Amino acid sequence: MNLLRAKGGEIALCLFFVATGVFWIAVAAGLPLWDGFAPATGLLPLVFGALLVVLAVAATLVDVVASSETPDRAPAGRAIMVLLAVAAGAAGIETAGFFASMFVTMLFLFRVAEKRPLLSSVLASAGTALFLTLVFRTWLGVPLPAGPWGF
Amino acid sequence: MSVVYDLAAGFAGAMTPWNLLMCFAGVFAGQIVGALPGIGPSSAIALLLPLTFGADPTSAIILFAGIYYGAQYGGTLTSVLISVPGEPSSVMTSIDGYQMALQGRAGAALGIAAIGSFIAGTLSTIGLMLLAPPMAKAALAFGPPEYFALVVLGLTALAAVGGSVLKGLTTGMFGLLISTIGIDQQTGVARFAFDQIWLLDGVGFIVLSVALFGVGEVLSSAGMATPRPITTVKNLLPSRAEWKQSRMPILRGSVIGFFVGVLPATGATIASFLAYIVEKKVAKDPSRFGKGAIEGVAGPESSNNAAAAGAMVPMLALGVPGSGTTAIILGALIMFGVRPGPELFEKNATLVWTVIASMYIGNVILLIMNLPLAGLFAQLLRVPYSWLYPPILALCVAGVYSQANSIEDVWMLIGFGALGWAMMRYDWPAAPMILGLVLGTIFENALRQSMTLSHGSAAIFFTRPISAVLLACAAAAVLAPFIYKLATSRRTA
Repeated sequence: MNLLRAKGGEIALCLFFVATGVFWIAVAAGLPLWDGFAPATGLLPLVFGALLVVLAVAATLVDVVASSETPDRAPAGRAIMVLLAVAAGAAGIETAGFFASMFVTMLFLFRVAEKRPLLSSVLASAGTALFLTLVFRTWLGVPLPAGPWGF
Repeated sequence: MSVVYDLAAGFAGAMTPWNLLMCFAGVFAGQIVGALPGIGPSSAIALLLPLTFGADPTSAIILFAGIYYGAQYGGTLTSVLISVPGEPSSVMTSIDGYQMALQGRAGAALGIAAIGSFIAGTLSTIGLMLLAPPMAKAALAFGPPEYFALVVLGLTALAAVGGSVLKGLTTGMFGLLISTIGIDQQTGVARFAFDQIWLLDGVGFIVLSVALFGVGEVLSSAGMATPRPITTVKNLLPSRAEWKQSRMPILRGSVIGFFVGVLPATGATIASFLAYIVEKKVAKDPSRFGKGAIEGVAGPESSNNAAAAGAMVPMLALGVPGSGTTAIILGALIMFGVRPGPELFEKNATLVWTVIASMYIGNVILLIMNLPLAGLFAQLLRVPYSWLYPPILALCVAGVYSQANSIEDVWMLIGFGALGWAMMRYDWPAAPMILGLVLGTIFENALRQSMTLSHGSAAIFFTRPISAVLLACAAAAVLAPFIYKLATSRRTA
């Protein structure tokens, strides 16, 4: 239990790599593996999957065995909150438009996550969203999604 | 003589107003990202990739190269003024640089770093110019087995640069694995696309780079503390005595840095460590080191700048990056349809020589900019990170969306961003993953062509001398850290 508490993150990341490797092996096994003299579509993904599993387990084992101490790390809460805010912003891009969704995302991050003054947060969010919209739409000609109000 | 003609043509290309502007923008941005906490040259280049998509490749690579070597100096500011290295390669500078700052000599430390960086940058660019073309010429005889071995060397070498070789190899393998998503170029069969049209093109280099180095780095720096008090910067020109003490360390650092940079699996960080150790060894009074010895700033600073140009040698000549940042530049070249490696100097000579010429110009710009403006750059350290990262995230989203006007790319950005954050949190290197993705297709094609050539025998990789040597180097890159660790533990036991 102590090991799980101390190295839970490392083990979870290792499990992610292992799960991906196993999935790749399973899918690649259904593809043709050899064609004439050379590997076919499935062989390399199969080999990569197997090597990923072996390497991820070995790297994590070495890490866990080498040190049982947990280095001081910043709490994960802030990073998760920021990531969720960006995900929420991304979810709104196609309905509310790029400008509005990025404005709200940045406002949330400045004001709620970082507790910055309201007026500065509004100005910084609006200025950045406007600048990015102008650069990508006008300069680079990228059709960033517009909201129901036309921008 | 052909080098002189090529360089003259390079200068003609680099001196156009647009390329000069790109060079200035690159070194200026490099200075800023090197000084700012939580964002490095890899992230900066990754963030700018979407903006340069479809632009002239030469101008874009000039910009990226400028960011790369500009950031080496930017990292010095934080090392000297607040003892927080902006880049790992500036760790050694902080030892004596910060002590000098505490003694009121921050200006001299930054001044000698600027002059040393200029000299080292210029000397190592000469080295790049002289060494890369013959290396590329020799490598022109490469066939599929040698290309396969080169990719293996590139991946293993980059994996060995970080703290754990095993972790580097794992992330490199993950990069190779995701490079198999999409249509197999040789057979036309869709792999791992799960009937999703947007996955048929595979995972984009820009999506993964921006996710790992943009979103991932921002997430891991989001909880950073507020800035520390900063020393005032004045009297940047070193005194006659300080210059006399620094001359030889600058020259030694330049030579060490360049050759260490050229070697795969080393890079600017090891170069600066080595330069510091050498200076301490040759010093008449080694006890001054750690207490504000100017040689402890001049040597490592020259060394890390020389290594930046040195790392461009294998990247341009062989397509093997010597550092994480050159891995992204390599990916950018491939994104622009330029194949780095032996044929680069033949097929894209204008691009290569213009970039090399721009590096001379960039070093002059850095010197001119640094001596009078170091104090101004120091003010950047006062900007709290909380004002910086929300706009960076918005830029990441806009940049990735703009590639294919695809919201699915944005979701991939968020997913890989979360993975990048977890990897940074638990010290798994991200650069090998990028390289794996970039080189995956070349790796697979070279393997298939080699096996077809040899009628299915893998012996072709070991019977051809160049391929065998490259694979032996790759094995050495992987095994050397283990052997070193084993030898050290035996000695201590």
